[in-house]
Amino acid sequence: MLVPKRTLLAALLACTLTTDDVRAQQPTNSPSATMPAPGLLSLRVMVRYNRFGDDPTGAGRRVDAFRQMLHGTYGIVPGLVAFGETALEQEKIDAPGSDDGTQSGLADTVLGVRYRFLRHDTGPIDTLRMAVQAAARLPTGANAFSTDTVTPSIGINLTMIRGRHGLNATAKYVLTTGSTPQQLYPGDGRADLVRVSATHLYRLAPASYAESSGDAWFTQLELIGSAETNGDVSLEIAPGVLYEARRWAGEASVLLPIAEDLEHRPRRELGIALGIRLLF
Amino acid sequence: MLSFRSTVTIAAVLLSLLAVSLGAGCATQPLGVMPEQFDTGQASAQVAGLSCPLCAESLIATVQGVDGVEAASLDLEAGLLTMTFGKVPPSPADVARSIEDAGFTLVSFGLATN
Repeated sequence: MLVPKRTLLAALLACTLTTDDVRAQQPTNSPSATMPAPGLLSLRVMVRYNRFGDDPTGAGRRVDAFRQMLHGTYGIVPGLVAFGETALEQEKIDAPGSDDGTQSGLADTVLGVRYRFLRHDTGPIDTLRMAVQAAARLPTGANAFSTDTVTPSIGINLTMIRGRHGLNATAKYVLTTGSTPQQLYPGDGRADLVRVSATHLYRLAPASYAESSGDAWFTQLELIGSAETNGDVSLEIAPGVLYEARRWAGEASVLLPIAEDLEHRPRRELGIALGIRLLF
Repeated sequence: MLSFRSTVTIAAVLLSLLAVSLGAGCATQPLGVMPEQFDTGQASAQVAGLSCPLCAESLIATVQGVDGVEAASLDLEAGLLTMTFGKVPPSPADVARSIEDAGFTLVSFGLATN
């Protein structure tokens, strides 16, 4: 599906402007401005499946990619957290003219810090928070999933909640210094990446928290845009659900393409994410 | 056609403007009178910005870490934190600091209603 780049860029900008109301619930595919208190650790275990096709690079690849991800966030001091992420990857590659194969290995590790510079609490539940983050993707090993370089990134996250509605908006710039062999995801090539997202979360139940309420169901609708300096642009939508209890949460999301203009990586035809978050 | 750099710049400016406008629209919560000490075995606190069950648990865990606080519970909808104290109650300043450190806004202290 080809869409004029101007239309895609306008849509990406719209992602950053749809902020209306949100806060604390973190979407499945984007960071938020919320964070654990000092001394508390939040762990997130996630399984992702992505199917890639319509490869414009000439290789004609179809790839089924599985990722088992572990993400940890630790509160250091008020308003400052450190986070880290590591993942096991497995890819089944189907390419005409070459041997099909399956490869697996450890993905690059991501380490970073997030600092909350704005907090406006306007009601028992309502809040507005903003945070900046800096991270680095560190080479874990010389395998098919590593860039073998240190790739820094900076980002800004906004989270706002008003009653049952929440909105999360993020923007991230990745200064890409290396590439992975397969180059499946935005930022996997040598081009710099700008990633923006806007998410609407809605608390399905309970309509209002009872005094003893310990859990809640949310729907989430994410709009995710990626633009790379090599000209690749994509826009995806990710509906999902989020269940939050007092000490853990469960999440599920489906990622679908809306539009893209790609020349250097295959199209993500489908993404599925399932995860659990634990608070210690 | 906009260049990539121009697009990034415009997006950053728009996001900043959006953040400033959203921040400007939020009322600041004034803190009520801070008591010098807690005179009873229980006290409550009105807290803002709780937003979700996980955040509520984060606040409870932090407040329960304050010396003198034996237990804490939270009415999320009302933003009402209820604390039960031991023989030596904590200082209100310590409780206030723990609430702020957890990332929430203390609006006021009051006597527990239950």
